[in-house]
Amino acid sequence: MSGRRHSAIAGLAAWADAVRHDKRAAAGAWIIGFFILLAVFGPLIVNDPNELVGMPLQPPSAEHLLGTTGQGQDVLAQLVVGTRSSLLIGFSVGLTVVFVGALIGVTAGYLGGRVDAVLSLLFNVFLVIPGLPLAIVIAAYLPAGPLTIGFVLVIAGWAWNARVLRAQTLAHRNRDFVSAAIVAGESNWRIVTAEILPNMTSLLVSQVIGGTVYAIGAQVGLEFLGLGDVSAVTWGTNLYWAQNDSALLTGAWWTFAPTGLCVALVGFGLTMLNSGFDEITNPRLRLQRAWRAYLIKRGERPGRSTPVVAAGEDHA
Amino acid sequence: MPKPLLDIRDLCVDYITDAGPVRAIDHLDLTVEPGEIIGVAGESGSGKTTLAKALMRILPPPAVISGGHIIFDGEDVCEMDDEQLRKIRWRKISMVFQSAMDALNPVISVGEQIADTLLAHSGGPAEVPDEVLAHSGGPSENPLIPVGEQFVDTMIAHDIGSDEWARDRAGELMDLVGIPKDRLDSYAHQLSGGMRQRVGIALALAMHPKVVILDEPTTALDVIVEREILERIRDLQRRLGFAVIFITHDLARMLQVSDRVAIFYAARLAEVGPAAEIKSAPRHPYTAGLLRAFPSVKPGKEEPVSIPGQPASLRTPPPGCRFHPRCPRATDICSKEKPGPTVIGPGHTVCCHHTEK
Amino acid sequence: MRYLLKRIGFYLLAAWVALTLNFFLPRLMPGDPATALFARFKGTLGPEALEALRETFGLTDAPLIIQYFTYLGHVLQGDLGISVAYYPSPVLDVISSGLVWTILLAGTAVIVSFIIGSLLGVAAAWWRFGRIDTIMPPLSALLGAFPYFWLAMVALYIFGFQLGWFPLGHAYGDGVTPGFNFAFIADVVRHAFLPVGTVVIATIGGWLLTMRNTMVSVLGMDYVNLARAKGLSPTRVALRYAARNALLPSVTGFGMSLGFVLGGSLLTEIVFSYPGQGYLLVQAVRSQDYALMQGIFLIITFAVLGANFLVDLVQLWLDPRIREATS
Repeated sequence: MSGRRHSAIAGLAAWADAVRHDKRAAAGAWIIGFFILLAVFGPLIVNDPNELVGMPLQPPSAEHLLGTTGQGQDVLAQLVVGTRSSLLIGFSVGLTVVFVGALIGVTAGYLGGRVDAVLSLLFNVFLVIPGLPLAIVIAAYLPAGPLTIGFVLVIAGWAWNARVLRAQTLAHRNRDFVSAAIVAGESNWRIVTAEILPNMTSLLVSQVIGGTVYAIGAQVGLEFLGLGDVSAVTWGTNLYWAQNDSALLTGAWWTFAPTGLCVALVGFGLTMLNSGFDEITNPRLRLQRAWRAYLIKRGERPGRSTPVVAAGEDHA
Repeated sequence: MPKPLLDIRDLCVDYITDAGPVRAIDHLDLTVEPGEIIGVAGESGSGKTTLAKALMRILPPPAVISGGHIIFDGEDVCEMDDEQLRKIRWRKISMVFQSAMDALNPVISVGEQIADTLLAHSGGPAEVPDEVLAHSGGPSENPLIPVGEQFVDTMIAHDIGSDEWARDRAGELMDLVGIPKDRLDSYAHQLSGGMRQRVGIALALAMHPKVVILDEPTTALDVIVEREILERIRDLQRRLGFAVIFITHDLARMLQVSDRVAIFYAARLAEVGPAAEIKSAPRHPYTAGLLRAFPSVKPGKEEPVSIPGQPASLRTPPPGCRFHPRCPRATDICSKEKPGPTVIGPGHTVCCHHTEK
Repeated sequence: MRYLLKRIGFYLLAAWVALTLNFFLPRLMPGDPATALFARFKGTLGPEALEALRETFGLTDAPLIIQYFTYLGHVLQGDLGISVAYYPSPVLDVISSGLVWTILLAGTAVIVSFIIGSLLGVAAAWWRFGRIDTIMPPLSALLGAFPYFWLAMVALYIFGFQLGWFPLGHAYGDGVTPGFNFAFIADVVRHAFLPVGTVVIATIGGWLLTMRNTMVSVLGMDYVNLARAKGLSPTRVALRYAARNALLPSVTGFGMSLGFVLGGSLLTEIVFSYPGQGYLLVQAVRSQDYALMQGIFLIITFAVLGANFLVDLVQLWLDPRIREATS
């Protein structure tokens, strides 16, 4: 039990390390932190986003910092309120695709044999079937709303995680601690939950982050198509209305620019968090960094051939 | 005494880690004479492979050479830039990697990989005459270099630098190591372990180098193939006259093959001397221990006796003589002072406070 | 050869899964599938016409298994039903009118993006910590985070609407006659430039990062070390001995991300009123034209499966180990 907790904590600690030591991971964490605060407290501060507050399509002014929509609503209020549902769906879908992916991928990798063959075939098929068109077709039959969006995004997105987690499980399965547990007669369920999954903690976190990036992007896309609840206020429906109200052709850039920037910032922040983590945990990348810093400190340029550093310190 | 072909002086190599540099080769002095086979032995992690790659300056990050000189044919490899290095690599010094499976590119046929090497150095016909003069004009160190001349002849006789020439020459090299020419178009995964390693040797000989480094060339092979490969190397070495630096952890095998032997322990040289002397009268307690651990050297006489204790850690090496925690002769001085090299005979040097038997 | 047969078998299976999904979707959904499918026809069509449509979709009173085979039979004959949005055109006709544009747009974008992105990735890894390696990964991660269609809106707004450098939409102008003539091709290129460009910008970072990371590990391999030790020129080491090997995982990823990129490209079409599948798809969604929607899903799936097969051929050509393992 302590072993399980220990490796799970080690996995999370690696993330904390990345945020502390890698500039990009830190930047990502700040961005995400800001948007989470905005999602939690923002809607309490701004006015009702559906209220008609002025003339339609007014450019940004002191009164309406980001102007008004084609209906005459405040763009800033819509943006802030939209953050909440977009992030909520994003993170929930991110978690769910990893959960489903883990369920199927780990089962396939751990049990192997025929179960593996069937499950692998299943996720490989779902990998080649284009996700967005599938999501659209399913969403079109279901009542519009966040549940539908979340559901179709999970259907279209789980396969990738299953594939990666299966490969990872296979790698773990052959390690000594798992073999030892099998010999010791522990149950499959216990081996998976106590020995294998905790050792994949950091990978799972990285997958949830990647899944969230996917979910936020795809959700905005589906809602832009009009497959969401168009009366709700989300980032996607904001863009849907901007397109519908011909914002482009009337030059009303403020109705679509801020929303897209926010989507991109969240995606960027999450991606930075992930790549910063990679940089910190990949031993090759990390050593190269240390090596380079060492050379630069001594006035040498890292080159292709093994560098020669003048006088190194002497070791005992 | 003639100048050595390769003169390694006071060489230090560090691996840079988060916790600072870790020394993998510590103040090494070693020479290689033309045409000799020198064996380098030691436990894994003692710096053998590091030495091999450092000599060619191909140690990948995070390694740095942190001092010393590698004088090759009168020039210091440590002072060369990339372009100068490119010119001596393979032409003068080449290497057979530990695992040919890893060292051969999986998606390029072995013939092309050999041909590539030849083309990289042919530099077009204009450059050839110098090469020709260098090899056939001057007094050569070894009177028996027919294949070297054959190489030069081939270059003159054929359209040097063309793809066809390179392919022909690659075929000859394959022949030299006993692989049928029709395997030129094979890929690494299609060859047996022994064949792959022989391709590695063919590659190493492609430019008729003066020194060939063999980095544990037979670890991945079974005993029969291993012997076949080693005999092949001996034979080629006699015919072509190159010097060999033969790196292995298998002391017994090495003593059969080498003229001289250097024993490494924890990044430092423990003992270097003629193979026969080392075999019959090792002076460093570590060498003696290694000999007892590989009893095949003296067949039937002894049971294998392993050296007690763990190999020294390079991160936190023991003070003084690094072998002292495992050494039966250790006294107070051993844990305090690093033993300097003591010359105890012609070409025989030992780093130990207690060289007397 | 066995490898290719295996792949073909896999794609046939995937196609069958897509067909089956298509068949069951309307039947699994709440309510009467026929009502859902034909809701929009009510009033426009007489009862006999509706009955004929039900027949096409196999929505009869026959047992499910019979319905299923009726449906498969119709699809195999190219009968995907009648479009509501473009009544009374058959779905297949509607789709084929836009297919070439979608393939042109997505195909060009994905190939251009893959080539440029992979080259930049090679450069970033080769000159590790250099300028490309410092600037490009975060920059392309930022660009890649924007929704494709949003970049399309911005590009259209700036370069089409404000600066007037590019047309505001469609695949070609009214003034040119479609055909193999210079004026037409030039006009098509001019119209495709912005949509292709935005998809390229949005997707380039993915290829760059994948290629950079594999290339960094490949550069640490012994075979690259040996290539360097052999005295090969740096460009030869980089391209022939490292990049080619690093390309293999990228090519695998290329196949798998085709569907994803295509999705983004469909949304881009909508912004540019580009007459491809994306544009048709949004028409279908707006007019609840389920037959058209499902038809598009099928055709796009088939196209992606076909493209994946082409990727397999490339893979086979690049990696001799695959050839070997299966012969």
